[in-house]
Amino acid sequence: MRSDKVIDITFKPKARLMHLLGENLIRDEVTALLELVKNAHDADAPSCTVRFESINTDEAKIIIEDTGIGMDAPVVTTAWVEPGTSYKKRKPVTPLGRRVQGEKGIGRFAVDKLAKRLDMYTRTENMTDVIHFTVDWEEFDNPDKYLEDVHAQYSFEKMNFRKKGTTLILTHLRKKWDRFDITRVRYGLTRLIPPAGLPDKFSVNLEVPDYPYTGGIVRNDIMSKAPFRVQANLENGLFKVSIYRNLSWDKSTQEKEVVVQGLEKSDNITSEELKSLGPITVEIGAFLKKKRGKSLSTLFPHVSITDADAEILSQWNGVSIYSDGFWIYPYGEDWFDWLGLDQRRVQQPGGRFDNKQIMGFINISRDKNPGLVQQINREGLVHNESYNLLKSFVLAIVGALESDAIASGARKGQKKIALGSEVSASSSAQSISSSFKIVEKLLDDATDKLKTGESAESSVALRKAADGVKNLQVEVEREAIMYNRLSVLGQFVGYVIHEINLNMDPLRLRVDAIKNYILSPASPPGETNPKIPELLQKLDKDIDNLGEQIHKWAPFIKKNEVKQAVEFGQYLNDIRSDIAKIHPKLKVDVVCHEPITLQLTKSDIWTIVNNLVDNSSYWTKDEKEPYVKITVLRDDGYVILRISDNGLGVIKEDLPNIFIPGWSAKLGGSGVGLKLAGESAWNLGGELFLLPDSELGKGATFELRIPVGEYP
Amino acid sequence: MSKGQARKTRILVLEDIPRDADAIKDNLESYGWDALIASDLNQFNEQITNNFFDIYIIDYDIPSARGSNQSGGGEKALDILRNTIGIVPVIIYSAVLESELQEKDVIERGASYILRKGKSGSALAALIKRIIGEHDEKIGLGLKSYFTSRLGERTFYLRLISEKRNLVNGEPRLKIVAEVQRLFDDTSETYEVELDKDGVVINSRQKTS
Repeated sequence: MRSDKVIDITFKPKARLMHLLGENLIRDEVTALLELVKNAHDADAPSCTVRFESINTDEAKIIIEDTGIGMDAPVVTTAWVEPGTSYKKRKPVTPLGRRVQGEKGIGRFAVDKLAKRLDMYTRTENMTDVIHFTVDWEEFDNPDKYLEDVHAQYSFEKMNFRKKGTTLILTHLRKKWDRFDITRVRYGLTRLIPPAGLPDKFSVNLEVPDYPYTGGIVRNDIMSKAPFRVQANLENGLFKVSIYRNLSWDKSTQEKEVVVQGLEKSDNITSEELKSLGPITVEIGAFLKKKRGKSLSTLFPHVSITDADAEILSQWNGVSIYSDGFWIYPYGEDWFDWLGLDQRRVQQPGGRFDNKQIMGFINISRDKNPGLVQQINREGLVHNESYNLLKSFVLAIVGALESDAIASGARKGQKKIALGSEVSASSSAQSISSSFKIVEKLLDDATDKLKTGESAESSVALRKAADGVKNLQVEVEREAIMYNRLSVLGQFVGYVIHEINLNMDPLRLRVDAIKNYILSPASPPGETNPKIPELLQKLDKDIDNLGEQIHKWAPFIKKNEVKQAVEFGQYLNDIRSDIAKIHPKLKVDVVCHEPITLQLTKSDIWTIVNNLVDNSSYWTKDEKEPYVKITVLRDDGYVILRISDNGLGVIKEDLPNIFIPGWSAKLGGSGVGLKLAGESAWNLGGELFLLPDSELGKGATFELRIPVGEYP
Repeated sequence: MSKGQARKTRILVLEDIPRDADAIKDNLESYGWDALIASDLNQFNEQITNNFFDIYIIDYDIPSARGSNQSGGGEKALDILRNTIGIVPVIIYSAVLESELQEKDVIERGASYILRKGKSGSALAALIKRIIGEHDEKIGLGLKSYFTSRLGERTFYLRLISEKRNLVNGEPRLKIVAEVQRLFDDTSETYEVELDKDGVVINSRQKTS
């Protein structure tokens, strides 16, 4: 039988409930900090500063400072003291028109997650005094206390404070922050700001005096460095897709815009469907980053990526979504392949990017894309029809980017991109083939015009055909030179590696020696062994020497070097200063009585002079005054470059062998130098000879003859 | 060398490229060894005639004579060492020995070890440490065995004062001057001992102080 007496009881939440709620609402301390930065944004602050002070001590504090609208007493007492009251829910847009980000009112939980004590100073534009609000969150740790027993205080203070804004000072931090945490904060802040920048210019400044290099204004300009980039705008169901290539190894494509007319519509998206999605902007860059542990600068030798960029790229993958300028977790996290890019790549490895190779941003708006709804826990979008449509649209954009990358010839594997020249190996053959077809057509046109007897038109057609032939000749010459170089390099690749390895020996020995002195127990602590600076100086020279050895081969890995006007006397004098560094005892004179300018590849002249002078230096080493004379002159349709020395000369028995690759009269010689000089002479359209009699009466004289008829 | 101070291992390096020679010298000195450079055969001859070295390092690919363009300097240096000093540790440090056959020839000619250039910076030092260890062990065992039989069961310490190599009737000999310190009666005597290439004592005499 039911009693008539009903007893009314009230819920009395324990103070610990605040902690429990905070634990479930906020993932970790970095997320908590980002929530507080979002609050600064919601306060219409043009900027926000996050400052970590004395983080390696017990006095560590975090200061979050903004110049926003600030709070008055009613706001403080509701927003901060009444959990569950969503003050911001009633004002979804800030006075400056920003979409409020922290509408779940979790700022207070964020503070609790970070620190045991909060001192907040805030003032609105109309207030004369500053509100000083304090909370001791440790009181919430007491398991016996009820929520109503916990007190916070605020007072009005006259103090030197900016006109408006809020400063949070968090002390008695719950966590000891280290450099790694700060780096995560920076990444987090970087992710909050889309690379293109927010329209209202909200900026965040991170100050960490203990780790100054992690601080500074948080920026994000990484997208401008992407080798392949696509921008897409969707408006009223219509889209424009622009693709940009920034292939620094292929200058002709830099920042070249390609407008795509149609997209690969695998899911048959209709314009009407797209219209329902609302306006969306998409920007995706393909970085082709692939190998772990391999630096990006190695993969992209021509793309300038700083260490900081590389770190962002190593953590930032896939396509991120931003709502009204702020990032929605977890789109863009490396583990969250929401577009299924990895799966697509497995199905078609050569033609698809995976989630780790691209980085992109989608900008949506809560108001203009009502179908794209954020989940209640603020993590991700609700998986509805609009979401699926967005996925299909973005996948089509990625497909366009992939098609362009394939067309560029770069999507053939990392190694080929790194080497650059190999990429062009197949494309150059195609290019020459198409140039031949163009010339063929021009000649056909010219022939037709000649048949019709229209002199003016036939004259134009002939000129076009002549230009076509000339262009083709330049192209074929350039490719021939390049392949010849590669072929020479190929013949001597073993030698090159051996030579460079040997030249690294002094470096290895000296590094080992430096290590010994550093680790030696005999070295007094805190003092540098006097041998170390001396060895470092020698090491510096060793490195220079190694550089010279490698430099010798540089012309042979130079791709697409074009002929240019070179004034001989001037260029040889430039080379002479290089020679003086390598062979300081050798006297070198350059004799050129008249200015002679030719169209040629500089690196070939460099190779010829460098190798011949290298020989001269060897064979004149026992001379009292080792001497080389370089003469340039014109003679009977040729430009002649003559290099003579006063060394031992070439003995008769050796004459038939000197241009044979691998043969050398020098002790320990490789037999490479004269072969390389001969190949370079061929690249210049000339020939290299050893003259029977030395110009100086003794020693050897080599002569390069370039027919000038080739270059009117 | 003052009494009680450890004698430094002395190494002669035959290397004609100054840059390489200097780097080898810097490296060896960082290990606490004395290194001397001979940049041609003349300097090499001069050094081995006037000084004693524990280890010889030879760059095989050096000219046969100063200013010459002919190789064979390494072979000549090996021949000189084997004909004058006898069994001493010789390292051929070279970049030119291409085949096992060539290496076999060099070993037959008298090289103790071959180390190719282009290895890690500590490879040369590691080999030298191994050689010093083997050498000390051989001499130490020979001397210990000799003095144990000579002095009976009494415990003693041996302190090496000097060592010198020479050839006697074409056979290598090692002359050691060592101090024998008896532990129980706190006395010491100095001996001059001659050992053969295997560390067996052939002659010995007590030196008067």
